[in-house]
Amino acid sequence: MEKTRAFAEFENFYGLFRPLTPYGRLYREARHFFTDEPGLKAEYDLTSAISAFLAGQRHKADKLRFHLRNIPAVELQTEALNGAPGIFLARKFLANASAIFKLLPSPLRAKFGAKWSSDELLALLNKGGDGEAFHIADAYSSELGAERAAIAGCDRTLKALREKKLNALRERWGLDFSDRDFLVIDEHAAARLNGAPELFLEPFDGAHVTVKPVYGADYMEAAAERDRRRGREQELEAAVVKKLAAAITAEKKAIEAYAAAVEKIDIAAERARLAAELKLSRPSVHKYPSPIRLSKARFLPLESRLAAAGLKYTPLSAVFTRRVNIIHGSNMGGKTVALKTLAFMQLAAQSGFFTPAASFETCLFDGLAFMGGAEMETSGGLSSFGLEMNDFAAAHERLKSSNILLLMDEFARTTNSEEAVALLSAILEDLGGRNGAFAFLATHFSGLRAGKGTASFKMRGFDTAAFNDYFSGKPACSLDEKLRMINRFMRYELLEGAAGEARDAIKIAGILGVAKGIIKKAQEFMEEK
Amino acid sequence: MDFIKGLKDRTVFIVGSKKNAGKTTFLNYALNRLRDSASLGALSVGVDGESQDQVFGNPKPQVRAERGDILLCAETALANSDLHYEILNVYPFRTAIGRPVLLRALRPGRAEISGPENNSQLGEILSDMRRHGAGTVFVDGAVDRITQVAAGHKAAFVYVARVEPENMDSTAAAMKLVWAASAVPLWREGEKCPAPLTRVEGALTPGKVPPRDVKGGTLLIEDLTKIFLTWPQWQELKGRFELRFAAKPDLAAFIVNLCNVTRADFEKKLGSPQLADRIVYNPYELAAG
Repeated sequence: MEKTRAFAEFENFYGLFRPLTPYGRLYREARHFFTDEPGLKAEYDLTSAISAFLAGQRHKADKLRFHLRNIPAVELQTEALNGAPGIFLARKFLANASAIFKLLPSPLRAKFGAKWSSDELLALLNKGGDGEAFHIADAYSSELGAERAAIAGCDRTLKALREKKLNALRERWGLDFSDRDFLVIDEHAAARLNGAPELFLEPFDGAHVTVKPVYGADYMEAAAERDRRRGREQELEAAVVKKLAAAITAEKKAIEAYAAAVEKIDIAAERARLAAELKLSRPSVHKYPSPIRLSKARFLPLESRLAAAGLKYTPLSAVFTRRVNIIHGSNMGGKTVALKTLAFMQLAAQSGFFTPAASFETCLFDGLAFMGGAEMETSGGLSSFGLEMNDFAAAHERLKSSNILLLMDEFARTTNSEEAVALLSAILEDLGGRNGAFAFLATHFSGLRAGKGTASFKMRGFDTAAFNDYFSGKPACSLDEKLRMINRFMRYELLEGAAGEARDAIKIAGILGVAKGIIKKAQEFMEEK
Repeated sequence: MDFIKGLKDRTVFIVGSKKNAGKTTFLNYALNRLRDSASLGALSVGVDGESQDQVFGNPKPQVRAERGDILLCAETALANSDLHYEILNVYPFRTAIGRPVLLRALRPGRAEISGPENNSQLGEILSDMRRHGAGTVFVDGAVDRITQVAAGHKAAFVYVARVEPENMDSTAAAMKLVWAASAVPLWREGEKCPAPLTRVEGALTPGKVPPRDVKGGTLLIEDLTKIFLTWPQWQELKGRFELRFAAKPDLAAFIVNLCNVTRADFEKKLGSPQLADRIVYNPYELAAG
């Protein structure tokens, strides 16, 4: 499937699919490929339902995205809940999940399985703060409040003792410790400080000493009292955390159900966003086999590249009622793009997305297999021909037990045409007899023996008359302009039947700058043939 | 002007000449000096294994926070802090010492600050700190993390060095390089510079310096923390190219803690009165008299 994804440039689209929650992101990583009709239709239903709800409600859509973005991954294991950070995350999860569920009307909540029953738990956790912040608040334990009040008292005492000490040091020795925990003093100047009980001196370097205040016994006693109370505070905090963790764990099943609902909402909302932004429509899927019908299907990666280059894009419309299909066409005539469009649409549909088409009707495959193409690299000592045959053999094996959409682009193009035609004819005949195969072959080769069950198509090709009208008297131009011209005069429509197969290679070679003499001679050779 | 007051409301990177240069000691000093303004923020980046502030011998570099300060601490370090705090966020990125926790101190205390592991996480945390009201934010030990935030957060940096007889030459050379680099202008989109414009991606190491027969044109370097050349190599490069930085935090000051080295000896080694003017020596030293 990886090769098919690469051929269809599917990552280009999948990269735009950006769920907002950690659950959605995990789902995304799994790269689901649906092969069951009810499961896939359920995904489409959720996307349709949330699309309808959010349509024209920008404020609600923004709110939904805000809360989804704020959902953390909640961990419910004991060790994850043994501190304030774990409790914080649980509360953050519940607060945002609750807000998301409240945003949705009751029938929509039911569709996503979003059934809320944790008001009491959330109220308990909210004692630790309103808004985003959370702390182990005094509200959880009166003893904790008392202990903290005592610590605050210690802090006041310590501050007063410190200020008193620093004032005394400033008055007696002229040492200003404000903003500093210590001072560095020239050792000669420090000599007068030797023996002062309220100062601690130690060498800094060969010529300086570090001087720190000695705060005295009353300060040390207050500090020790503070430490003791801080120890008690930690015990009380741990007890509160334990209590809160127990309350959270008691609702583990409900929280897991919220997480599942949040994941579904996140995925559906993100698919709905893509559908709105990229003008996607709900595909129609059926059990295998059934015809594939595309109306104004757009291969999004090419559409955006052409738009960036200021070139026209022609969507693909076609109906494929037979299982074995051959697509003929001239160079740069759009055969490969037609295959890519098919692969893209099928991958998008079976991955749960709406598709970029006025309509797309298809059946469900167990898998997709791509073979051939100029992009293929040699590896492991195999030539590109070897790789193609290897891939075909593997896909052919899978046909014994699965329904596979086979996409063959210029298959066997690297071998001599006589043998290639023979091989392809045999393959087409074989595939025609295998019910699990739904195949598309884009090829240059003519003279293939297509069986009765095979349908032939051709790309309409180059519009010579329109080109001649435009080009007469025009001067030579750059490659960009030449490509623009080919795009302008190439007709990318897919027509049924192979009659009058397009033969535009010589014309295109001429446009791309091959010498006029060569082009003329080539045309003469063709006429002789 | 007191340069510390000039750091107010900025993102201040405290970078050091080496480990244990006294960065955290300076951080605590700067926090104390800016206390009267809005909430302060502090985090550190680049775990470099410092277990002790060896300039002044503090056992573990900890930040002293006051009520309202916003800190980033590792989950595991919270147990050792004596702060009472409220949690503002817990980040999903796992570090060796647990998840980073953004907190606001609810009473004074000490805590060990921590940091994220990459620039995008740093950007997210800095923006959360600002959202929660942090005015000045200090980033401790971030020599390689400046580029991303330099443009958006009014970034400045303070270079802290501990100078001893055995490292006086190398520290002087490093400071001269930072000083010279800080004079290189920021590159502005559309600016007319001598062609060709060559971008240096990542660190500018001796291996990435164009061969000596290539002269003229403009060299665009990410920022001054990406320069890993010696002083002579830098001088040679400056002679051949017009130089620009893609991002350029302001150099706020050099903080130099002299240890068995006299100021006169060190300044002689620097050989630049202008650079010497930008140095704040021994901020913890009581002035004579």
